[in-house]
Parts: sequence; C-alpha cells; structure tokens
Amino acid sequence: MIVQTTRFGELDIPDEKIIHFPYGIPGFTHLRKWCLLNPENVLSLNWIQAMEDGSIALIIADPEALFQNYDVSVDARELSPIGVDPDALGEDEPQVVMRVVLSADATTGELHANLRAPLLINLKTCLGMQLPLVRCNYSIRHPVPMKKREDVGDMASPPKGKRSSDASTSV
Amino acid sequence: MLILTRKPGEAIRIGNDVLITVKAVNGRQVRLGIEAPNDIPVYREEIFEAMTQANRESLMPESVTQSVLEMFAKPAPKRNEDSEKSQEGNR
Repeated sequence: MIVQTTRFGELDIPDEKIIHFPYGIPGFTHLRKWCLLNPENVLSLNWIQAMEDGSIALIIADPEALFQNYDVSVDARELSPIGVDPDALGEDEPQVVMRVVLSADATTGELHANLRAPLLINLKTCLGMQLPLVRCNYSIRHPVPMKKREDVGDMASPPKGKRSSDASTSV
Repeated sequence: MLILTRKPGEAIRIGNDVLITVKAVNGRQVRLGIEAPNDIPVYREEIFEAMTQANRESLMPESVTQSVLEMFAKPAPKRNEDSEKSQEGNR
C-alpha cells in the first residue's frame, strides 16, 4: 500500500506490515491502518504513521526504556480485540509489544508519555489497540525525564517556565 | 437520542451481543453490568475523551519532532571512536 506522507514522502508498505486498529486510535478513530517506522540513529522510539492520512504520525516509545519501573498488568481477556486468545496462551506465544504515545509541550518542549493508555500491538496478527489501564495510577501525561540535559551541561540554569498544574492532570 | 427508563435488575440489549443491566441505584450513582463480546472495547466516556485529547495533542510540529528525536539519538559513532582511541593511547 502506497501512502504520500508529509514527513517521509512516499512510502510503500507491504500489506503484511500494516497494523490494523479495528477501532482506530481515540482522536483518530476513522484511521484504521497504520505502520511502524524506525527513525534512523534513534533509540527506543518509533513513528506510527497513518496509512489513510499522510499527515498523521505519532512518536511512540518503549515504556520500559524510558521508565525502568513501569509495571503494568494487562488481563489476557483485554487483548481479545487484537487477536490474543486467552485460552490458548500456553501453546501460542503472543507477540504483543507495548508502546506509549509521546507528546511535547508546544512552549517548553517538555515531553510527556501517555502511561495510562499504552498502545498494544500484536505483531503476529498485525492488530493494534489503545488500552486504558484500569488498575493503575499512571498519568495520561507523565513527564519524561530529559536525559540529554546533563550532556549539555546547563543543569544549573532554571527550567524554562514551571509546569502549570494542568499539564500533569492525571485521569 | 433514545431514552429508556429502567429499574434495578432490568436491562437493555444492544444488537444481539451487548447487554447492559442496571445493577443498583444509590442516590446519584448507578451501577451498570455490561456484557459484551471480548473484542468490543468498553470505556468510561471521560477516559475515552482524555485519550482522544491526548492523542490529538501528540501530533508534533516538525521543529519539535526534530528535537525529540535528537534527545533519543544513539551515541554518535565519532565520539566512540575517539574514546576508543584515547583508551588505546592510555595502554
């Protein structure tokens, strides 16, 4: 499937690499087909690009790479929409990867990760969903620590604009 | 909008597979039981709205994405070579 994207130009994605979100992604529920892209020379991040709208792409991250203590439990039954059979877990090892959507504050550039509702992608069935976790206290806008700061050596300078209370609203 | 009045214990069926039962009513709170096929996601509306808003806000302008990608850039290979050389020099 060929898609004209605003960021990556023309992409030709083989059908077997297209991830189907049967219910879309909230905010983009009309977009059911997506693909994963690996930015060059970048660790722990992927793009998820909509196949049906070339202007829609989100940056997603491996939550365990960003937050070593990220610990969530997902009931196998909740993975039914992406083709995981809870009764066949033993014999059929699912290949489900978890990614979190990143957002950046437009003025401060501070990064946030949606730890409350990760994307779950079954690589075996190429089905994906965004699942709000019910038994957790993670925020939908969890601040991402800025590791690079120490390299730059400007740790002493005060942060640009303190985070307002609405930026860390937990749901 | 279709509006139906139900008593505790009564239910509403949507299509063949979705059954919503009024379990209890306590003052301003209503407990609902929802039976739906496993492959149909069920969300509390305010959480679905919050996910919608967060995802829309996650669309970053090109200038911002560049700085995000740089933040997660692999260590530059040049720097590694330099450090290897200096290590060799120390030996």
